[in-house]
Amino acid sequence: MNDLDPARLVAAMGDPRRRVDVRASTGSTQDDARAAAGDGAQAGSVFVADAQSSGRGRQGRVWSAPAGSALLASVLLAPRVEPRALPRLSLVVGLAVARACAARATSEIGVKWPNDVEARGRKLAGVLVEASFRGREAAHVVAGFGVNVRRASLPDDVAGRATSLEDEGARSLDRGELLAEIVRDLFGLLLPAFERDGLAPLLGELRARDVARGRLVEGDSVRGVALGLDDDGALRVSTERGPVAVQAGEVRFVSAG
Amino acid sequence: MAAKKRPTTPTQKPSSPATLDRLALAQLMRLMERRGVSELEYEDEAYKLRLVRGATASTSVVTMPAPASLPAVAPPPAEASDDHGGEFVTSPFVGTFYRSPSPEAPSFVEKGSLVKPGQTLCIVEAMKLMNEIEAEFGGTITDVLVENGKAVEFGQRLFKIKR
Repeated sequence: MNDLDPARLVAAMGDPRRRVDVRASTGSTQDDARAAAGDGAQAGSVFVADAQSSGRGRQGRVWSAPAGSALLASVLLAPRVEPRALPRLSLVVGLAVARACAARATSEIGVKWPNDVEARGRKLAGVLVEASFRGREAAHVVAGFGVNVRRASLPDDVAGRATSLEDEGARSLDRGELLAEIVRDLFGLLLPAFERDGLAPLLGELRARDVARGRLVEGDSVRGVALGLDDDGALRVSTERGPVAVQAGEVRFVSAG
Repeated sequence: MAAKKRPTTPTQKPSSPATLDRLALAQLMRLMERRGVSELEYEDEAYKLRLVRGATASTSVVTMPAPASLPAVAPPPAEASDDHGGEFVTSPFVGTFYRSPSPEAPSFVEKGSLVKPGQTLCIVEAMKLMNEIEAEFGGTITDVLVENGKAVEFGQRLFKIKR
């Protein structure tokens, strides 16, 4: 795990005060970040592990990865946005991950709404944002992401539907550089823009990377052709009963056949 | 959807109609329908017009009315009390309501559960942001108002808690 040297990470992230916790292995960086948040860790703190045994996906799905194969990290956030806009943060984090992947891969990097990072129709990275609310305040927000870096990161059962930076022609597979770039981009550029102007400054790129547009999709209670992201970041789908804005859940691609 | 008429000014373009008649309005609405435009805002010297299509709340799990139908300044999604001493926990945003962290796991709370401040009551998910709603104060859950997996609107009542 030489590529996750803590001192090198802190230096590459450009802020000597930033807390960066590196672990050889952990259950879930998301749980590490949440525990630290409970103990008063600052927004901007980064939690990364070489290997993860019980990483979480949506609704309790497991995202595990053997040592050295994937970038597994969580960051603590304190976005200054109104609570109703908070879910859009999920798109912002996905975009940061997608941009860093795009800077390395030779293939085109897309985002499947809301924030699965894909290349050639295969999942390259996943993002999960967890927040907690008490009353009218978000108590803490933790954004976790997993990027498949080397081929070995892919369990057999998902190998056909997943890919890695290595598979996508990346010249560098250095996880530290990848993480530092995501953190710099997120905290230095994307998050400040989002706090100031909402999704508006990011919509162009989000739409350009949207792989769902024009395809037949199926969500929890909706089926139709994806029309793209609306200004609030919801996925507009043209259904039999007219266009609807999908806010939650997942969408799957449906083959036309 | 009212078209407000203000006094015309010298800078007004001569082509601007003095009033927006019903025919023009109907044409605009048809155009929006045809092009799949859900919201249209127009402003010039004479008019400020905002048209929002499909502004009635849908019962579907993942749909919501066009955002412009909501007030510009959101009322806080805090607990609101009712007449019988119970207080409601409401949803901070549009999303899907989950009573447990995963489909196999037991519910965070049940009717009758005694909860502490800060205890997780449910998850509201939107755009893959999993939002744990915590109890602001301790008390007894006297009602669970939404079924697991259902769509919730902004401000919708989720639980009733009696202190």
